[in-house]
This record gives sequence, structure tokens and C-alpha cells, in this order.
Amino acid sequence: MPSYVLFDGTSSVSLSPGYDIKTDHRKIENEHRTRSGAGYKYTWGRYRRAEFNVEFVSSADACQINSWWNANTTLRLYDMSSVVVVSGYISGNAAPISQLVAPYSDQFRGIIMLEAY
Amino acid sequence: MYNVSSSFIYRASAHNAAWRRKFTLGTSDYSNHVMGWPAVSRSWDSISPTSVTINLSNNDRTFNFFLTDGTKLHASAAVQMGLIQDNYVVDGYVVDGYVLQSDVVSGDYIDVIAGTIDSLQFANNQCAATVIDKFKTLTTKIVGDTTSPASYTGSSYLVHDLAWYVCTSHGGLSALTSTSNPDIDYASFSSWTSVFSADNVRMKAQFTGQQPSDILKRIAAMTQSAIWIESNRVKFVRFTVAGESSLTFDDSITIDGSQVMDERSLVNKFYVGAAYDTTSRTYGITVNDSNSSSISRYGLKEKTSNEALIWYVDSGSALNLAQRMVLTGKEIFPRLQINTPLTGIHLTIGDTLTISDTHLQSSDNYRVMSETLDMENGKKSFTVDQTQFLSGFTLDVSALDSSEVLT
Repeated sequence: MPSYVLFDGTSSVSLSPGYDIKTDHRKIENEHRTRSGAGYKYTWGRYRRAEFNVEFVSSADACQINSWWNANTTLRLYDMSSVVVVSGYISGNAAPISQLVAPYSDQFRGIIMLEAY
Repeated sequence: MYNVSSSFIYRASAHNAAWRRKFTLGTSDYSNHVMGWPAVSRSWDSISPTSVTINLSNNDRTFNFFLTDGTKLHASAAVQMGLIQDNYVVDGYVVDGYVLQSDVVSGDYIDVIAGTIDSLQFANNQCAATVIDKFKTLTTKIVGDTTSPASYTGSSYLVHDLAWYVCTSHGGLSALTSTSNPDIDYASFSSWTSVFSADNVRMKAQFTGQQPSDILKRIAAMTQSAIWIESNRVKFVRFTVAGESSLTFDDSITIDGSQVMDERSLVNKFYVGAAYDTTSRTYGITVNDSNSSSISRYGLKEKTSNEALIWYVDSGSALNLAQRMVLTGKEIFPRLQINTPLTGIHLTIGDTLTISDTHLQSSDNYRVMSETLDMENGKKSFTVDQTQFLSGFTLDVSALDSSEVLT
């Protein structure tokens, strides 16, 4: 399992997401196609994004992550080589860690979506 | 044409040109708060302030400083568009959030609109800011009133002198008579004056509470001049013989377009009233000019100009307008509208361009009469025609058998 760390500058949470973790670059751009078929692509900006499932998150870590989501805290996601993958907010309309892992009553699962600020 | 470098024009033509958009208040750059960029339109004969509304994210309460002091709306604001050297990405900046582009390399920027904040609306953690250009100063004052009119009847004024008084004495724009004038494009104004000095075109006027912008609009209509804001300065032009084409828009740099032939633009006999009497409210002189070959081909198309706030003082001055109206209105010219990428972003009102359309089997030169820059989608639209094109000489074959002498 890959190992990642979410860090707000003071507190950190270690996570072991599945291999379905997706860290991608997105572009904001327009494309025009002229009468002759020529293409023009104007890129206005780029941003990074990460999305991954986590399981067996302790209740303390779940509280910390949900608290970050609630406060739109700016976070950094480090990979196992201590390289920052994404700096951003946890996005989404619902708290990211909200489901129990059966049969435990203190282990949680959820989906964390991080988008650059 | 916007004042940009040859390097800018070259880089703007690239299919993957590295465009950037900027929104600044004073010297601070708030581009990263912009949620949607505006489309900015200008037309050669629309003498009114241009304003655009930009939606800004106020999640972090950045713009709350406006709420405590209304005078902060007077701060300078600018919307710019330009190019950086290339799309090189500085990877090391990832820790700062979004991936910064190579703005570390200096870029060329065009002032799409520059002026002040006209209004702000705060809602849903957003702030909608309306930016208005320098013409605003010409709409917030009035010239004269109904009890004490501002009279320019004591002597006969050259057209440009009257316009200068309106802009500077009444409108509050800088009266600096050099190219350093920050409000008026003095080079264009100086060329504009030579048109009326050479023909000794003189006017009188009496204003009873009109805005300076309204008066300028009347002067523009009475002289068939273009007055607009370019690079944050008021520009005055009466189009003469068109210059060389700046760019050819063929199918490879045209997204789509349309062409219109409209007979309503025809004028082949034009009347102008002069020597207006403010007491009897009548004109002492009416002159006209006509074009017989146009009348024989299209039938008589008459129009008149009777302006009671500003008027020509003599028949020679009035005839100047009549001749101009017939010269530009005697033929039906096609009006084209094209949508293009940003290749010709530096072209603006008055510039000459060539449009080549394989389907319409046409390729000719036209003058830009209005433009729209769509900053959100990275497109530019031009409306062009030949009404103000004035090519050096057009051989009118149908008139060769008439008794007219070609001059």
C-alpha cells in the first residue's frame, strides 16, 4: 500500500490509500477549430488534483480530516518520498470520512478529494 | 492598432500562444480571484463609457475592504490581456497551490479596459465588480444649464477647438498639448485637427445641460468622425484613405462569419442646415450634396442633419459634411462579421484588414468598425466594411457613359 501524509503546517495524518489513488493535472483551456480545420489551443491555467479511497482511519484521524474539510484548511499531501503531490483544500459537499468499516466501531472509510487552491 | 511589439504580434499568431489575463486594482494583481472573464466591445460611433462586470471570488473576504470606504471605488482598475514567453511551467511552485506559469518572464499586455470601479455587488461569497473606462468622466458632468446656457456663439470655432473645450474645460480630461497627455491620444487629435483646419470647418454651439459625452457624440455625427478609447486614451480619427492591410483573415484563421448587404445604409443626397438662429430656431442656410450616378442606379435616398445644439456657421462648413455623407453612403457596401482566434488581438477600430472567404468567393480589404474581445473563450470578433474605407480611386464603370467628368 502506498503511504501518504496530509499536513496542515502543524498537524499531520498518515494515510494508506489504495492503488486506485489518482493524482492528476488539469488544464483550463479553450480550443477553436477554423474553417480550414486548423486548431488553436489556448491554455489559461493548470491545477492539480488528487482523489483516493482510505480505509481503517482511526476516529481521531477521521475527526481531524473532517475538521480540515469543514474549515477549508489548506493542506499539503506528501507522498512516500516526502514530495508534495498537491497543495489544496479537501473538496466536496459532504464530510469525506463518514462510514464505518464493519465490524469495527472505531475504524472509518471514505473518499478524499483534494483540489489545488 | 494597439501599441504592441513585433514580437507580441508574432507570438499572438501561434496556435498554442501562451495567453494570460490580468485584473488589477491599483498595483495589486487579483487575477487569481476572477471566476469569469468579460467580453469587451467597442464600436467606432458609440461614444459612451465601456463597462464590464467581473465576478470575483470573495471566499477569503479579500474585497471586503471596499465596504468600509466608498472612495476606494475611485481606485484605478484594469483588465489586461497579454502573452508570456511560452507555456513553460515552473514545477517548483506546486507547493503554492495552483501551478504558476512562467509569469516570471515579463510579458506584453494590452489594456482591454482601464478606468475605475463603477459598482460592486457582494453576494454568495462573490463580488461582482463593474469596471468602467475613462469616458465615465465625460458622463458625470453637464455643460451649461437651461437658465444659463454655455454659449459658444461669440465667434466661429473650428470643430476640434470645440471638442477640445468639451473634453478638457468641461469633461475634466488633461489639457496637455503633447503626446504625453494621459487622457487624450494627442497624436490622433492633432491629425484630426488638420482635417478641419485645412477646410476651415467652423461651428457654433449652445449647451443647456448636456453631458460632455453626448456633445462629443453629436460632434462625431456631424463630422463623421470616430471617437473611442484605445489604450486608456480618447482617440479622434476621421478616416481617410485606408492604409495597408495589417493582416489577412483567410479560412485558416477564421472560425466563422457572416456577410450582409443592406440598402438602408444608402445616402446619395444629403442636406445640412447651417447658421442656426437660437431665438427663431431656424436655419439661415441649407446646403446639399448629391451623387447623380448613385441616384440613377439606386433611386433617390435622401437624409438630413439638423442639429440645434451645435451647428455649422456657413455653407462651406456645412457642405463639408454633406459631401462626406454622400461620399461614404453612395454605394451599398458589404458588412462582414468574423469570429477569429486571438491572432489579430492587436487590431482595433480603424485598422485595415483583408478578408478572404473561399465560399463567398471574395477577397478584399476592409476597415474595422467595431470589435469584441471575448476574454473568457479567447476569441475576437470584428465587424468590418468599406463605408469608411475610402480607397484611393474606384472606377465607376456604369458612369462612364454619363456626362460627368471624372476628377
